[in-house]
Amino acid sequence: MARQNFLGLVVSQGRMQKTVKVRVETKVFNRRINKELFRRKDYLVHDEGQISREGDLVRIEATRPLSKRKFFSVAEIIKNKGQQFALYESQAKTQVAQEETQKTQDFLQRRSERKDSGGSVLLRDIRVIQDALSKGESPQELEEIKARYGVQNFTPETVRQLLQLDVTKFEDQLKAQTSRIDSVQLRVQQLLDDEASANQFLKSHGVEDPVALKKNIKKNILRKHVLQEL
Amino acid sequence: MFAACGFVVHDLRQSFRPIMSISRSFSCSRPTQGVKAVKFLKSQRKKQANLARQSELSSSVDAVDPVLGRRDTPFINRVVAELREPGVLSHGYQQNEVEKLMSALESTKRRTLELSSLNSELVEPESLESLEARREAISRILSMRNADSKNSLKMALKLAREEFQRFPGDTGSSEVQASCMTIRIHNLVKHIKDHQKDYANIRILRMLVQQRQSILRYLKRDNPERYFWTLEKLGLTDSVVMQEFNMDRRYMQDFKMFGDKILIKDSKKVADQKRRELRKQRRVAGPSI
Repeated sequence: MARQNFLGLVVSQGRMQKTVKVRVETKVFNRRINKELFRRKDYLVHDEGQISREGDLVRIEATRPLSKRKFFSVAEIIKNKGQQFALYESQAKTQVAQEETQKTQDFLQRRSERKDSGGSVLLRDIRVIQDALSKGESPQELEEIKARYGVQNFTPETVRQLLQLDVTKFEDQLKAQTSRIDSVQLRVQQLLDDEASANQFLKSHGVEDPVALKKNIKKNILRKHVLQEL
Repeated sequence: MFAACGFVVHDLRQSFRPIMSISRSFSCSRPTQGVKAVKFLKSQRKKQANLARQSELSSSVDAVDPVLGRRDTPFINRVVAELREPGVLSHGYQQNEVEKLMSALESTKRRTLELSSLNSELVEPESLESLEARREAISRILSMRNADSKNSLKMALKLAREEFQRFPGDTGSSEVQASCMTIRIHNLVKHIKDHQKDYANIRILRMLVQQRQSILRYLKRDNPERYFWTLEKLGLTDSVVMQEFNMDRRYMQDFKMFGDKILIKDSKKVADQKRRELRKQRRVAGPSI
């Protein structure tokens, strides 16, 4: 007689030596309600190699009774999901430990930098620079300040750059972006208004038959090439 | 047994021993030394050792707090430390930006003075000390240390988001959500410890813990590698996420949320059971030492 064979999920591992608990689900037909129901049964299964982990899908096979409650052994591991999880878990441990030490170091470094740059250096420096600018002198302190900010010579323009806030920088960026978009739209509109030049433009950019194109498609292709040009 | 008795009687006839000795030798082997008894005792000892091991295993698995996670999680510690840093400002301000703004103000003041018809020699410039004092005052007002809890929570959430994001600007991935929930959970637990009767917030905390559990369960299905990374980072374990958990009074008592306060009174039956367990453990632990 063929040996009894089941597919089941490992639900408990590592609590007994060379033994895992495997849950087997079977369908049982209930005559009263005329419907198939799932029946679960947990088996203690012998795992000689101790390789299966919680979450694995395994095939178990009947053997001679190995102990009071154990008469199955793991025949093969069909889906090694549990082993994968165990691997990920061990990898995560080392990875996170590394990351955390790195981040903690960064944090401590930031703290020490903040401590070093304590006091209003900029406030005092600006005063010295302005004194120098208005009087036209160049005291000894100014040299140090130049070295600190990496500036060759102080003019009102460089001072303004030194004091530029991030907010104003973002504003400038936004302006540049909007002007670019406007110029693209203008160019596309110009081309659309003048059909002959638009056809020529498209032909020069490798479009086969620009005259046959639909209006909306033509516009899209035009915009694409104008964007690439700019 | 009969044979042994017969032997005793025979012995008695021969040597006329005192009665005491007769009564002693009536049982030829002490009840604790019989074959069956020895076997029973041995199995009993084995069973007790096994029970002790099982209880140890189960307690070691459940040692991690399902709400707060492991103690001394580096990520949480770092976020808390970042909020206590002296140079960190609330409302999203940066220290150097504020300094720049103040310097710019000073320089504009100076320029307007020069452009105006007033004689710049006559106007006394503001002393450096008063400038310094103003700077100090502003940095204290804006400091995260003096910020309200709403602002500090906002900053903590930002830090968590930046640490867990998959790409810059990611606010919705499961790990970001889980980390933000963890930050909020820690915040709420701190609040609840001070306000034990704030039942509304206890309920919110309970729901948050459940929600974090469910989103982590989803992440396990979706991206197991990232799931275990997140767990390790947040100081949680797989069993904490997968087991059924409700943040009830039993949990609060077991994990000492309100110190040693008794929240659930044991019934007499349970108390007896506990006492018995304790005695059994002591008995098992005794001989091994």
